[in-house]
Amino acid sequence: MGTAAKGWALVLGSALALAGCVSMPIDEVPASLETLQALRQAQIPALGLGSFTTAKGLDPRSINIRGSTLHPAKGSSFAAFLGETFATELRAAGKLDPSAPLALSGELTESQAKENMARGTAALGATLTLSRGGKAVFSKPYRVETSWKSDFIGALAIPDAFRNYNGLYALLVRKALTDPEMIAAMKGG
Amino acid sequence: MFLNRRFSASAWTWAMALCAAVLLAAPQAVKAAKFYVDGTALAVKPEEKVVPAAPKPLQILYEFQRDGGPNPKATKFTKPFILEDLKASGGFSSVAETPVEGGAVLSIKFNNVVDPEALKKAKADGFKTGLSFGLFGGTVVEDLYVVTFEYVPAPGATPIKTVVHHKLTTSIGKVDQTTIPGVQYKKADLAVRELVRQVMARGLNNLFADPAFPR
Repeated sequence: MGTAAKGWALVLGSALALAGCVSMPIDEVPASLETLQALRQAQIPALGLGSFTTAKGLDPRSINIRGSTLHPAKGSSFAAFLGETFATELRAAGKLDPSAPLALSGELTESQAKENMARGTAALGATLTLSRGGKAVFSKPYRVETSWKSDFIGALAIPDAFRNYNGLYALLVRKALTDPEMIAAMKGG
Repeated sequence: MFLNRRFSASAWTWAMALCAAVLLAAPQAVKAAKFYVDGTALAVKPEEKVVPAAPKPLQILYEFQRDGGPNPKATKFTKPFILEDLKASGGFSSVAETPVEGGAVLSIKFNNVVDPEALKKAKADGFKTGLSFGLFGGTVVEDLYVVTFEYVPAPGATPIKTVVHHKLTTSIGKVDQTTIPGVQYKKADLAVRELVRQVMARGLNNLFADPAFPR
Protein backbone atom coordinates (compact mmCIF):
# COMPACT_ATOMS: atom_id res chain seq x y z
CA MET A 1 0.00 0.00 0.00
CA GLY A 2 1.50 3.38 -0.99
CA THR A 3 2.07 6.19 1.50
CA ALA A 4 -0.98 8.17 0.34
CA ALA A 5 -3.22 5.15 0.56
CA LYS A 6 -1.92 4.36 4.05
CA GLY A 7 -2.61 7.96 5.02
CA TRP A 8 -6.22 7.85 3.89
CA ALA A 9 -6.76 4.47 5.52
CA LEU A 10 -5.57 5.98 8.77
CA VAL A 11 -7.87 8.97 8.21
CA LEU A 12 -10.94 6.84 7.72
CA GLY A 13 -9.98 4.63 10.62
CA SER A 14 -9.56 7.66 12.85
CA ALA A 15 -12.94 9.04 11.80
CA LEU A 16 -14.66 5.76 12.54
CA ALA A 17 -12.81 5.40 15.82
CA LEU A 18 -14.12 8.79 16.92
CA ALA A 19 -17.63 7.36 16.57
CA GLY A 20 -16.67 4.04 18.13
CA CYS A 21 -18.58 1.97 20.72
CA VAL A 22 -18.89 3.53 24.14
CA SER A 23 -20.68 2.52 27.30
CA MET A 24 -21.85 5.34 29.50
CA PRO A 25 -24.03 5.76 32.55
CA ILE A 26 -27.29 7.67 32.50
CA ASP A 27 -27.01 10.99 34.30
CA GLU A 28 -29.17 12.36 37.08
CA VAL A 29 -31.44 15.12 35.83
CA PRO A 30 -31.74 18.11 38.18
CA ALA A 31 -35.02 19.25 39.69
CA SER A 32 -36.96 21.81 37.66
CA LEU A 33 -38.73 25.00 38.66
CA GLU A 34 -41.76 23.96 36.61
CA THR A 35 -42.31 20.79 38.65
CA LEU A 36 -41.49 22.52 41.94
CA GLN A 37 -44.02 25.29 41.26
CA ALA A 38 -46.64 22.73 40.25
CA LEU A 39 -46.08 20.73 43.43
CA ARG A 40 -46.31 23.88 45.54
CA GLN A 41 -49.52 24.90 43.82
CA ALA A 42 -51.05 21.43 44.18
CA GLN A 43 -50.33 21.44 47.92
CA ILE A 44 -49.94 17.68 48.01
CA PRO A 45 -48.89 15.99 51.23
CA ALA A 46 -45.39 14.65 51.61
CA LEU A 47 -44.91 11.09 50.45
CA GLY A 48 -42.39 8.31 50.45
CA LEU A 49 -41.19 6.13 47.61
CA GLY A 50 -41.69 2.39 47.37
CA SER A 51 -40.06 0.00 44.97
CA PHE A 52 -39.61 0.67 41.27
CA THR A 53 -39.42 -2.52 39.23
CA THR A 54 -39.09 -3.52 35.59
CA ALA A 55 -41.90 -5.19 33.64
CA LYS A 56 -41.18 -8.72 32.49
CA GLY A 57 -39.48 -8.86 29.10
CA LEU A 58 -38.14 -5.29 29.25
CA ASP A 59 -34.36 -4.75 29.28
CA PRO A 60 -33.71 -3.19 32.67
CA ARG A 61 -30.20 -2.00 32.01
CA SER A 62 -29.36 -0.89 28.51
CA ILE A 63 -30.26 1.40 25.65
CA ASN A 64 -28.24 0.72 22.51
CA ILE A 65 -27.51 3.20 19.75
CA ARG A 66 -25.10 2.21 16.94
CA GLY A 67 -23.29 -0.25 19.17
CA SER A 68 -22.91 2.19 22.06
CA THR A 69 -24.74 1.59 25.32
CA LEU A 70 -26.40 3.80 27.88
CA HIS A 71 -26.87 2.09 31.22
CA PRO A 72 -27.89 2.90 34.80
CA ALA A 73 -25.40 2.90 37.65
CA LYS A 74 -23.74 -0.45 38.39
CA GLY A 75 -26.11 -2.74 40.19
CA SER A 76 -29.09 -0.51 39.47
CA SER A 77 -31.81 -0.41 36.80
CA PHE A 78 -33.64 2.17 34.72
CA ALA A 79 -36.70 1.53 36.91
CA ALA A 80 -34.69 2.44 39.99
CA PHE A 81 -33.43 5.52 38.12
CA LEU A 82 -37.05 6.54 37.59
CA GLY A 83 -37.60 6.25 41.34
CA GLU A 84 -34.52 8.40 41.94
CA THR A 85 -35.86 11.03 39.54
CA PHE A 86 -39.09 11.16 41.54
CA ALA A 87 -36.98 11.56 44.69
CA THR A 88 -35.04 14.47 43.14
CA GLU A 89 -38.19 16.42 42.29
CA LEU A 90 -40.02 15.64 45.53
CA ARG A 91 -36.95 16.50 47.62
CA ALA A 92 -36.51 19.85 45.84
CA ALA A 93 -40.14 20.68 46.65
CA GLY A 94 -39.81 19.54 50.26
CA LYS A 95 -42.32 16.75 49.63
CA LEU A 96 -40.20 13.65 50.16
CA ASP A 97 -40.77 11.91 53.50
CA PRO A 98 -39.76 8.25 53.84
CA SER A 99 -41.92 7.94 56.96
CA ALA A 100 -45.10 9.29 55.34
CA PRO A 101 -48.14 6.94 55.22
CA LEU A 102 -48.50 7.82 51.53
CA ALA A 103 -46.06 6.14 49.14
CA LEU A 104 -45.51 6.01 45.39
CA SER A 105 -44.15 2.96 43.61
CA GLY A 106 -43.87 2.04 39.96
CA GLU A 107 -43.26 -0.55 37.27
CA LEU A 108 -41.28 0.49 34.19
CA THR A 109 -43.22 -0.79 31.19
CA GLU A 110 -41.53 0.90 28.24
CA SER A 111 -37.96 2.07 27.70
CA GLN A 112 -36.66 2.58 24.21
CA ALA A 113 -34.60 4.83 21.93
CA LYS A 114 -33.63 4.42 18.29
CA GLU A 115 -32.45 6.45 15.33
CA ASN A 116 -31.79 5.95 11.62
CA MET A 117 -29.19 8.71 10.91
CA ALA A 118 -32.01 11.07 9.95
CA ARG A 119 -34.44 10.92 12.84
CA GLY A 120 -34.46 9.60 16.38
CA THR A 121 -37.31 8.64 18.69
CA ALA A 122 -37.48 7.63 22.33
CA ALA A 123 -40.27 6.65 24.70
CA LEU A 124 -40.64 5.91 28.38
CA GLY A 125 -43.64 4.38 30.15
CA ALA A 126 -44.48 3.30 33.67
CA THR A 127 -47.47 2.25 35.73
CA LEU A 128 -47.46 4.19 38.99
CA THR A 129 -49.24 3.07 42.13
CA LEU A 130 -50.10 5.20 45.14
CA SER A 131 -50.46 3.43 48.48
CA ARG A 132 -51.75 4.70 51.77
CA GLY A 133 -50.82 2.71 54.86
CA GLY A 134 -49.59 -0.10 52.61
CA LYS A 135 -52.88 -0.36 50.69
CA ALA A 136 -53.03 0.60 47.00
CA VAL A 137 -55.47 3.49 46.48
CA PHE A 138 -54.62 4.61 42.92
CA SER A 139 -52.83 3.19 39.89
CA LYS A 140 -52.39 4.60 36.39
CA PRO A 141 -50.07 4.18 33.39
CA TYR A 142 -48.06 7.18 32.19
CA ARG A 143 -46.07 7.55 28.96
CA VAL A 144 -43.87 10.22 27.40
CA GLU A 145 -42.07 10.28 24.08
CA THR A 146 -39.83 12.54 22.03
CA SER A 147 -38.27 12.75 18.58
CA TRP A 148 -35.30 14.66 17.19
CA LYS A 149 -33.27 15.22 14.05
CA SER A 150 -30.39 12.76 14.11
CA ASP A 151 -27.05 12.87 12.25
CA PHE A 152 -24.88 10.76 9.99
CA ILE A 153 -21.89 11.35 12.24
CA GLY A 154 -21.97 8.89 15.12
CA ALA A 155 -20.07 11.21 17.44
CA LEU A 156 -23.07 13.55 17.23
CA ALA A 157 -25.94 11.07 16.85
CA ILE A 158 -25.09 8.81 19.79
CA PRO A 159 -24.88 11.51 22.50
CA ASP A 160 -27.98 13.18 21.01
CA ALA A 161 -29.95 9.95 21.32
CA PHE A 162 -28.75 9.30 24.87
CA ARG A 163 -29.49 12.88 25.91
CA ASN A 164 -33.02 12.78 24.49
CA TYR A 165 -33.73 9.45 26.21
CA ASN A 166 -32.25 10.74 29.47
CA GLY A 167 -34.54 13.77 29.37
CA LEU A 168 -37.67 11.61 29.32
CA TYR A 169 -37.35 10.71 32.98
CA ALA A 170 -37.96 14.23 34.25
CA LEU A 171 -40.83 14.59 31.77
CA LEU A 172 -42.52 11.41 32.99
CA VAL A 173 -42.15 12.49 36.60
CA ARG A 174 -43.64 15.90 35.85
CA LYS A 175 -46.52 14.36 33.91
CA ALA A 176 -47.39 12.07 36.81
CA LEU A 177 -47.00 14.61 39.62
CA THR A 178 -49.09 17.22 37.82
CA ASP A 179 -51.83 14.81 36.80
CA PRO A 180 -55.09 16.02 38.43
CA GLU A 181 -56.13 12.42 39.08
CA MET A 182 -52.85 11.66 40.84
CA ILE A 183 -53.07 14.89 42.86
CA ALA A 184 -56.64 14.12 43.90
CA ALA A 185 -55.60 10.63 44.97
CA MET A 186 -52.69 12.02 47.00
CA LYS A 187 -54.96 14.47 48.79
CA GLY A 188 -57.75 11.95 49.27
CA GLY A 189 -58.66 11.05 52.87
CA MET B 1 -14.55 18.45 25.81
CA PHE B 2 -17.44 18.46 28.26
CA LEU B 3 -19.56 20.89 26.31
CA ASN B 4 -21.64 19.08 23.73
CA ARG B 5 -21.01 21.84 21.24
CA ARG B 6 -22.47 20.76 17.97
CA PHE B 7 -20.41 23.26 15.94
CA SER B 8 -16.98 22.28 17.08
CA ALA B 9 -17.90 18.63 17.66
CA SER B 10 -18.55 18.18 13.96
CA ALA B 11 -15.66 20.41 12.91
CA TRP B 12 -13.44 18.58 15.35
CA THR B 13 -14.57 15.13 14.24
CA TRP B 14 -13.36 15.72 10.70
CA ALA B 15 -10.50 18.07 11.44
CA MET B 16 -9.05 15.90 14.20
CA ALA B 17 -9.50 12.68 12.26
CA LEU B 18 -7.40 14.14 9.51
CA CYS B 19 -5.00 15.82 11.90
CA ALA B 20 -4.43 12.47 13.60
CA ALA B 21 -3.16 11.17 10.30
CA VAL B 22 -1.01 14.13 9.39
CA LEU B 23 0.59 14.29 12.81
CA LEU B 24 2.51 11.21 11.74
CA ALA B 25 3.66 12.90 8.55
CA ALA B 26 4.00 16.58 9.55
CA PRO B 27 3.61 17.16 13.30
CA GLN B 28 4.31 20.86 13.03
CA ALA B 29 1.36 21.45 10.71
CA VAL B 30 -1.55 21.34 13.18
CA LYS B 31 -2.42 24.55 15.00
CA ALA B 32 -3.90 24.22 18.51
CA ALA B 33 -7.45 25.48 19.09
CA LYS B 34 -7.89 28.80 20.89
CA PHE B 35 -10.91 30.05 22.80
CA TYR B 36 -12.23 33.59 23.18
CA VAL B 37 -14.68 35.21 25.57
CA ASP B 38 -15.72 38.82 25.03
CA GLY B 39 -17.48 40.18 28.12
CA THR B 40 -17.50 43.83 27.05
CA ALA B 41 -21.24 44.06 26.51
CA LEU B 42 -22.11 42.16 29.69
CA ALA B 43 -19.78 43.87 32.14
CA VAL B 44 -21.55 45.33 35.18
CA LYS B 45 -20.29 48.90 35.64
CA PRO B 46 -19.60 49.97 39.22
CA GLU B 47 -22.34 52.61 39.07
CA GLU B 48 -24.99 50.06 38.11
CA LYS B 49 -24.05 47.35 40.60
CA VAL B 50 -26.80 46.45 43.09
CA VAL B 51 -26.45 44.30 46.21
CA PRO B 52 -29.56 43.54 48.30
CA ALA B 53 -29.43 45.20 51.72
CA ALA B 54 -31.01 42.23 53.51
CA PRO B 55 -29.91 38.99 51.83
CA LYS B 56 -32.16 36.01 52.32
CA PRO B 57 -31.64 32.25 51.98
CA LEU B 58 -31.87 30.81 48.49
CA GLN B 59 -32.70 27.43 46.96
CA ILE B 60 -30.98 26.99 43.58
CA LEU B 61 -32.19 24.79 40.74
CA TYR B 62 -29.55 24.68 38.01
CA GLU B 63 -29.35 22.95 34.65
CA PHE B 64 -27.07 23.19 31.62
CA GLN B 65 -28.95 22.49 28.40
CA ARG B 66 -28.35 22.02 24.71
CA ASP B 67 -31.16 23.31 22.54
CA GLY B 68 -33.47 23.22 25.54
CA GLY B 69 -32.71 19.60 26.40
CA PRO B 70 -30.75 18.41 29.44
CA ASN B 71 -26.96 18.09 29.26
CA PRO B 72 -26.16 16.37 32.56
CA LYS B 73 -22.39 16.19 32.05
CA ALA B 74 -22.14 19.91 31.42
CA THR B 75 -24.48 20.54 34.36
CA LYS B 76 -22.17 18.58 36.63
CA PHE B 77 -19.09 20.42 35.36
CA THR B 78 -20.47 23.94 35.61
CA LYS B 79 -22.57 23.67 38.78
CA PRO B 80 -19.63 24.36 41.13
CA PHE B 81 -19.01 27.61 39.22
CA ILE B 82 -22.66 28.61 39.58
CA LEU B 83 -22.71 27.90 43.32
CA GLU B 84 -19.43 29.75 43.81
CA ASP B 85 -20.69 32.82 41.97
CA LEU B 86 -24.02 32.82 43.83
CA LYS B 87 -22.27 32.78 47.18
CA ALA B 88 -19.79 35.45 46.10
CA SER B 89 -22.53 37.78 44.83
CA GLY B 90 -23.46 38.88 48.35
CA GLY B 91 -27.11 38.72 47.35
CA PHE B 92 -28.09 35.70 49.44
CA SER B 93 -27.49 34.80 53.09
CA SER B 94 -27.15 31.11 52.16
CA VAL B 95 -27.39 28.93 49.08
CA ALA B 96 -28.76 25.37 49.07
CA GLU B 97 -30.25 22.91 46.63
CA THR B 98 -33.12 21.98 48.96
CA PRO B 99 -36.00 24.13 50.30
CA VAL B 100 -34.96 27.08 52.46
CA GLU B 101 -36.67 29.28 55.03
CA GLY B 102 -38.85 31.78 53.22
CA GLY B 103 -39.15 29.55 50.17
CA ALA B 104 -37.09 31.65 47.74
CA VAL B 105 -36.03 29.71 44.63
CA LEU B 106 -33.76 30.67 41.73
CA SER B 107 -33.83 28.59 38.56
CA ILE B 108 -30.90 29.03 36.16
CA LYS B 109 -31.00 27.32 32.75
CA PHE B 110 -27.77 27.66 30.78
CA ASN B 111 -28.83 26.81 27.25
CA ASN B 112 -26.34 26.18 24.43
CA VAL B 113 -28.28 27.14 21.33
CA VAL B 114 -27.50 25.62 17.94
CA ASP B 115 -28.02 27.63 14.76
CA PRO B 116 -28.60 25.03 11.96
CA GLU B 117 -27.17 27.28 9.21
CA ALA B 118 -24.09 28.11 11.25
CA LEU B 119 -23.68 24.39 11.92
CA LYS B 120 -23.68 23.59 8.20
CA LYS B 121 -21.05 26.27 7.60
CA ALA B 122 -18.95 25.02 10.50
CA LYS B 123 -19.05 21.49 9.10
CA ALA B 124 -17.93 22.72 5.68
CA ASP B 125 -15.19 24.97 7.08
CA GLY B 126 -14.02 22.26 9.44
CA PHE B 127 -13.71 19.80 6.59
CA LYS B 128 -11.60 22.24 4.59
CA THR B 129 -9.44 22.98 7.66
CA GLY B 130 -8.86 19.28 8.13
CA LEU B 131 -8.02 18.70 4.47
CA SER B 132 -5.30 21.35 4.62
CA PHE B 133 -4.19 20.10 8.04
CA GLY B 134 -4.74 23.59 9.39
CA LEU B 135 -1.97 25.03 7.23
CA PHE B 136 -3.97 26.82 4.60
CA GLY B 137 -7.35 27.24 6.19
CA GLY B 138 -8.93 28.00 9.53
CA THR B 139 -12.27 27.65 11.19
CA VAL B 140 -13.95 29.97 13.61
CA VAL B 141 -17.01 28.64 15.36
CA GLU B 142 -19.28 30.33 17.87
CA ASP B 143 -21.18 28.64 20.66
CA LEU B 144 -24.19 30.72 21.61
CA TYR B 145 -25.67 30.66 25.09
CA VAL B 146 -29.07 31.86 26.25
CA VAL B 147 -29.16 31.86 30.05
CA THR B 148 -32.52 32.24 31.78
CA PHE B 149 -32.71 33.34 35.40
CA GLU B 150 -36.07 32.94 37.13
CA TYR B 151 -36.36 34.01 40.76
CA VAL B 152 -39.40 33.22 42.91
CA PRO B 153 -39.12 35.24 46.14
CA ALA B 154 -41.68 33.14 48.05
CA PRO B 155 -44.29 30.42 47.39
CA GLY B 156 -47.03 31.83 45.20
CA ALA B 157 -45.07 34.97 44.28
CA THR B 158 -44.72 36.13 40.68
CA PRO B 159 -41.34 35.07 39.27
CA ILE B 160 -38.76 37.71 38.34
CA LYS B 161 -37.10 36.76 35.07
CA THR B 162 -34.06 37.91 33.14
CA VAL B 163 -32.27 36.44 30.12
CA VAL B 164 -28.57 36.88 29.36
CA HIS B 165 -26.94 36.12 26.00
CA HIS B 166 -23.27 35.27 25.60
CA LYS B 167 -20.96 33.33 23.30
CA LEU B 168 -17.74 31.34 23.22
CA THR B 169 -15.62 31.63 20.10
CA THR B 170 -13.25 28.86 19.05
CA SER B 171 -10.60 29.13 16.34
CA ILE B 172 -9.00 26.08 14.74
CA GLY B 173 -6.18 26.20 12.23
CA LYS B 174 -4.76 29.26 10.50
CA VAL B 175 -6.90 32.22 11.62
CA ASP B 176 -6.06 35.89 12.02
CA GLN B 177 -6.42 36.11 15.80
CA THR B 178 -6.68 39.91 15.74
CA THR B 179 -10.10 39.67 14.12
CA ILE B 180 -11.61 37.78 17.02
CA PRO B 181 -12.81 39.98 19.89
CA GLY B 182 -12.33 39.04 23.50
CA VAL B 183 -9.74 37.53 25.79
CA GLN B 184 -7.94 34.45 24.45
CA TYR B 185 -7.72 31.22 26.43
CA LYS B 186 -5.63 28.21 25.44
CA LYS B 187 -7.80 25.89 27.55
CA ALA B 188 -11.54 25.56 26.96
CA ASP B 189 -12.26 24.98 30.65
CA LEU B 190 -10.76 28.34 31.62
CA ALA B 191 -12.76 30.09 28.90
CA VAL B 192 -15.95 28.44 30.11
CA ARG B 193 -15.25 29.44 33.71
CA GLU B 194 -14.88 33.08 32.70
CA LEU B 195 -17.96 32.95 30.49
CA VAL B 196 -20.03 31.59 33.39
CA ARG B 197 -18.65 34.25 35.73
CA GLN B 198 -19.62 37.04 33.33
CA VAL B 199 -23.10 35.63 32.76
CA MET B 200 -23.71 35.21 36.48
CA ALA B 201 -22.54 38.75 37.29
CA ARG B 202 -24.88 40.25 34.68
CA GLY B 203 -27.84 37.97 35.38
CA LEU B 204 -27.76 38.37 39.14
CA ASN B 205 -27.34 42.14 38.91
CA ASN B 206 -30.36 42.29 36.60
CA LEU B 207 -32.38 40.42 39.22
CA PHE B 208 -31.14 42.52 42.15
CA ALA B 209 -31.93 45.71 40.24
CA ASP B 210 -35.49 44.61 39.49
CA PRO B 211 -38.00 46.67 41.51
CA ALA B 212 -39.78 43.43 42.52
CA PHE B 213 -36.66 41.92 44.08
CA PRO B 214 -37.02 41.89 47.89
CA ARG B 215 -34.98 44.68 49.52
